[in-house]
Amino acid sequence: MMDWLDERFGVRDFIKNHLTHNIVPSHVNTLHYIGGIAVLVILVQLFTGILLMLYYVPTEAEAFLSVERINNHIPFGWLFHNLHVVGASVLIILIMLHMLRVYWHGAFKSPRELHWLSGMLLLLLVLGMAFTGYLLPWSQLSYWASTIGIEMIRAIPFLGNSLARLLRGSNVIDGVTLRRFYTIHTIVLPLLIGAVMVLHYALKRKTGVAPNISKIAKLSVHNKDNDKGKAYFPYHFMRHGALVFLLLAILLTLALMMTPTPQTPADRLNSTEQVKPEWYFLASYQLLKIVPIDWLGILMQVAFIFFLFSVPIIESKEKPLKERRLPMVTAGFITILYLVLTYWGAVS
Amino acid sequence: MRVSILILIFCCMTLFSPFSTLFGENSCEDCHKGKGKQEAMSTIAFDLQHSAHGQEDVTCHDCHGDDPIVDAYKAFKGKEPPNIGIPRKINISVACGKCHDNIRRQFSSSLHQEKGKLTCILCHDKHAIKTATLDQVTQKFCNSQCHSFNHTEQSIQSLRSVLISSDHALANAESMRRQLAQKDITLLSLELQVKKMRAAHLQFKHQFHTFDLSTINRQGFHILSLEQKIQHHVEITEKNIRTRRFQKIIGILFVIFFLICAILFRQYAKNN
Repeated sequence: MMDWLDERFGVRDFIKNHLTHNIVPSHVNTLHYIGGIAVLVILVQLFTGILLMLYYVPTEAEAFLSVERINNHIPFGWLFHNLHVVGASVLIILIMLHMLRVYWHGAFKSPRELHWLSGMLLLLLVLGMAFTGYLLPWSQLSYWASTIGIEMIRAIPFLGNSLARLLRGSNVIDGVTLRRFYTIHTIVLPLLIGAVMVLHYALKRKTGVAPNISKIAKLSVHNKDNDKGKAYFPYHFMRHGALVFLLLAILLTLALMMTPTPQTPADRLNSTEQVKPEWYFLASYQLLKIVPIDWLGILMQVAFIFFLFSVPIIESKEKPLKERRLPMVTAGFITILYLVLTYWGAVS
Repeated sequence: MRVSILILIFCCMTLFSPFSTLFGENSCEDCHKGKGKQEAMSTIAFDLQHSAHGQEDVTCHDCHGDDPIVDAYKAFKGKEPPNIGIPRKINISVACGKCHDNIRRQFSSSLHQEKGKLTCILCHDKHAIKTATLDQVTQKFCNSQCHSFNHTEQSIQSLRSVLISSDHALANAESMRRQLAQKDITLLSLELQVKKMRAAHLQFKHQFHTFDLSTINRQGFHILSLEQKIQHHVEITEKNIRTRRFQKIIGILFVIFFLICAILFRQYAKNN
C-alpha cells in the first residue's frame, strides 16, 4: 500500500522532508506552536461553518429563523453554532499572540519580511471574516453592530462612501447586504485566507524558523546547519498534538458553557437597543468615539495598519534582544493601549 | 356666494360642537327618553359604551346619522338628509359595512343576504355588539329566524363542529406557545406560526358570514393543519431541549477524551 502511494504521490519523500528528517532548531518552544494551533482553529471554523451552511438561509426573511432552527431543532446545532462563535474569538486571540511572539523573536526581519506581511494580511482577512459573519444571524444586535461597522468604514476620507455602498449594495443594510456578506464570508474570504495560509507556510518552510533571539550574534540566518535540534516527528509532532487536543478541549468547554442571550430579529426602524461591536473591534470603536473628528480617527487607524505592515522595513537590522528596547517598549505600549481601549469601549 | 356662506356656516357648526353626545348636555338622551315601547336610552348608552364599538369611540351618529334638530342638519334642508334614524333592515349590513367592509362583502354574497331576512344585529346585537356564540348556531335558533329556509340538522351540526374545532385549535396553539414561554423559550418561528393561525382564524370567522359550508369547512381544515404544524414545531423544540442534556454529556465526554489525548501526547514527547 505504502509503495503504491509512494509511487504515485511520493509519500515517503513527503514524510521524510516534512516529518522525520525535518530538523527543528532546539530553541523552538511552546510559543512557536501558536501559529500551528491557529491553523487548527481555522479548520474548526471551516468544519462548523460548513455544517451551519447546510441549514442557514441567507435571506432577510429566513436568516433569523434558520439560525433559530439550527439552535433549537437540529441535533447538536446549538453546539456547532457556539463552537463557530467561540472559535472566531479564539482565532483572533491566537493570531494576535502569534504576532506578538513573532515580533518578540524578531522573526519578521530579512529574509522573513514576507512572513510578517502575509501574517498581517491573514489577520485583516480573519477580522473581515468576523465582521461579515457577525451580520449573518440577522438579529437586532448583529444588524446594528454591523451598521456601526459600516458607518466606521463610511468615515474613511474620499473612499468611505463608495466602500460602504459597495458593501451594503443599497442605501441601508438589507437583504442585498446580507447576501453580499454571506458570499464574502463563505467564499471570497475563505479562498483568500487559504491562499495566504499556503503562502505563509511555504515561506516558513523556505526560510525555516527564526534564529534564537538570545544567541542571535552567533548564529547565521539559515540556522539549520548550525543548530542540532530534533526532528519534527515524533518529538515536536507530539508536543504540537498535545496542544491541539488541549485547545480542542478548551474550545469545546467554552462552547458547552456558552449561554447565548435571547435575540430578537433585525428591525431597521428600531435602534433603541444598546449595541456595541464585538470585542475585537471595541478598541477601534472607542478610538472613533474619543477622537472628535471622524476622519481623523479613521486616519489614525489606517496609519496604524500601515505602520504594522512596515515593521520589517522600520526595524530591518538583526539585533539581539538587549538592543531592541525601544521597539519592545513601543510594542508593549501598543498592546496595552489596545487592551485599555477595548476595556474602555466595553464599559463606556 | 350664498352656497359659500352656507358651507362656511356648516363648517363652523361642525367645528363648534353641534353633535350630540350620549350623556350630558346636548346628549341623545335629552330627546330620546325611551318612552313607550322604546328601549331606555340609558340602557342603550350603557350597552354601547361597554361594547367593542364604545371602545372604538363609535357614537349614535355613526349608524343613525346626524341630529335633525341641529343647525348643521337644517342647512341641508331640501336636500338628501344626513339623518338615517332607525336603519332599514336591508341597510343594516351597509351601515356596518362602513367599517366592516370585508365582512359585509362576505355576507352580501351569502344566501342569507339574498333572503333579506337576516341582519348583522340578529347575531351581534344592536348596541351591545357581542361576538356570536355557539348557541346561535343551532337548528332551533336558525329556523326561528328564517322559517322558510329549512336548515338540516346535519348542516348545523357540521357548522358547529367546525366552529368548535377551530376555536379549540387556536386555544391549543396559544396554550402550547405559553407553555414554552414559561420555560423561557420564545421562538420567532413559533410566534409567526401562531400569528398566522390567528389571522387564519379571523379570516375563518369572516368567511363564516358567507354561510357556505364548503368554504367554512375548507378554512376550518386549514386551521387544523396549522395547529398540527405548531404542535410538530413545539414537539421538536421540546425534544431538542430534553436531549440537550444528553448532547452536553457527549460534549463533556469529548472534552475528557481530548484532555486524555493531550496528556498522552505530552507524555510521549517527554519520553522521547
